[in-house]
Amino acid sequence: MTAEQQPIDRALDAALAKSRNPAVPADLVSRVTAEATAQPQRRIGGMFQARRTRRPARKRRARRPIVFGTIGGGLLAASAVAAALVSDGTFELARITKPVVELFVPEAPRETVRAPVAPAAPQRPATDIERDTPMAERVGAAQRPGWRLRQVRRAMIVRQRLERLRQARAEEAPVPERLVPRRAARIPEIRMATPEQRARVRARIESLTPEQRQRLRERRAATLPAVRDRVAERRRDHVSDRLRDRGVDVPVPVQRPSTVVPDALDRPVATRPLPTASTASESPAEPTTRRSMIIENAPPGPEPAPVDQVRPNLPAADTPAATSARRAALQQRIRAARAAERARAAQRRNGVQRPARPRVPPRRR
Amino acid sequence: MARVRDGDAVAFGTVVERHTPLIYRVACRLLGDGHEAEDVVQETFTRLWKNAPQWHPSGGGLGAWLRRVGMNLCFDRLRKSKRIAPEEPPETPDDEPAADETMVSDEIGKTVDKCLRELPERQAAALVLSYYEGLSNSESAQTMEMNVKALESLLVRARRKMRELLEREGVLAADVEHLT
Repeated sequence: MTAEQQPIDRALDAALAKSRNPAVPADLVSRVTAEATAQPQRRIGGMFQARRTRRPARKRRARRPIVFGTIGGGLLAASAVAAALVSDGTFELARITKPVVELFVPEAPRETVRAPVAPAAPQRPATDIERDTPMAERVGAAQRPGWRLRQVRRAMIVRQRLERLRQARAEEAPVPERLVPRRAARIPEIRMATPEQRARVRARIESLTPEQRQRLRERRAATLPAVRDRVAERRRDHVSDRLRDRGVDVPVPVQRPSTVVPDALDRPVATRPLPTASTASESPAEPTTRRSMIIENAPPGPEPAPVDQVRPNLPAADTPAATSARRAALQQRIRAARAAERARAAQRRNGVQRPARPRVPPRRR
Repeated sequence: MARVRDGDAVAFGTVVERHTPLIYRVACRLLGDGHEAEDVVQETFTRLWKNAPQWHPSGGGLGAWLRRVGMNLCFDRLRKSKRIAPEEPPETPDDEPAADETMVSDEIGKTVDKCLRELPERQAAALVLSYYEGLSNSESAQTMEMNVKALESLLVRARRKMRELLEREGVLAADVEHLT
């Protein structure tokens, strides 16, 4: 920023000089002193004084001394050690303090130094003795008398011993019995199936042919739409076959659209057009024969009848033309509504004068 | 200040006596009200007394610290009063009989005080500190927590604005020159 040269304006200086200096009240000093000293001074005592940062006009962030961090870290470490050592659920102060104390004790563990071997005791195989002897003793025996383990290594060994003890104790502990038996063990009870019932079911299953079994399996587990359709179709065929066998005129079933629309136009069909759903419902007493699926050795029949492309099961309102007309009308309605909304908004904008935004002058320092 | 930090009221009285006039005058010019200025002085020294144990010398020393606190208090009061202040500040009564020239001079002085209060607060503060209180530019800049160049620019803008305001109020250069 460059400072502008101050112009000499004698008139302005003279005008400013006309302003009289305000006179300080005579008793102001005594009043101020008396009132201020009547208040207590703010003294921050204690060990952990907060220190303000030296950055003015910034966030009043207070720096706490490092003591807090040290205390917090120590507590964290101590709790971690305690949690690691009492993980088997028991709390013994000696178990926590012992490895820590041993870190700072220069001597070897007492039992290692003494290591008395009773001469009268029955001798065990050397391998057993070596396996049961702690690592500290083994190492110590190898390096005695000038034996000194490093402190960290010794702590590690002690921890390993504690871990082994904990595992051994966990293995020796009795396994509690389950108060509630597993659900898998209770399934026969739940189903109330006696062995006789199970044998009867098994005999029925074995008496079925593989085809029947497959059908049963599909009936039970058919979840895919294609499988479901196939099963339904097969069941319908089965019913109509049974009825035909009994000599009953099979009524025209309510056919699905996919069965009505011919998929092969060169297939011979009846001259009479296939009944639609509407005609079927109007004249249910006029049955038609079931179309034969076998076309071999069939004489050349008549030309395929022209089939109306309109899906017969759909009402007239669902034809493609009607649907597209409906969609076009809807789109036109939406377009008209949007245009009206835009027009209303423009009218609001033009009709009412919005108040001018107050000018915020740039901040001058 | 070390004695004030230890709670010595006598030493505190000395500090108050030394710095009160300047703070009072600055506050009085900025606020235009003697009672408000007294309140500002009171609040400034109360803060000094309370925070004396934590006070550390920095920058311009105790004087600059007190001026800064006083000015901030003035700014706070100005911002508060602007919300409820009437359009025209009240005229201070003057019952003293005076001759024509003195009357005109007083009239110009009152107009100057009025225009001073119409200035932006920082411009008014710069003008008061450097013109009326005679502080050097560096001292004023230190009090206002800005560098010297910025203060000089501020002063130029303040004088220009002041002249505009005086001309608007009808105090023309010819009148002032006629008096001098």
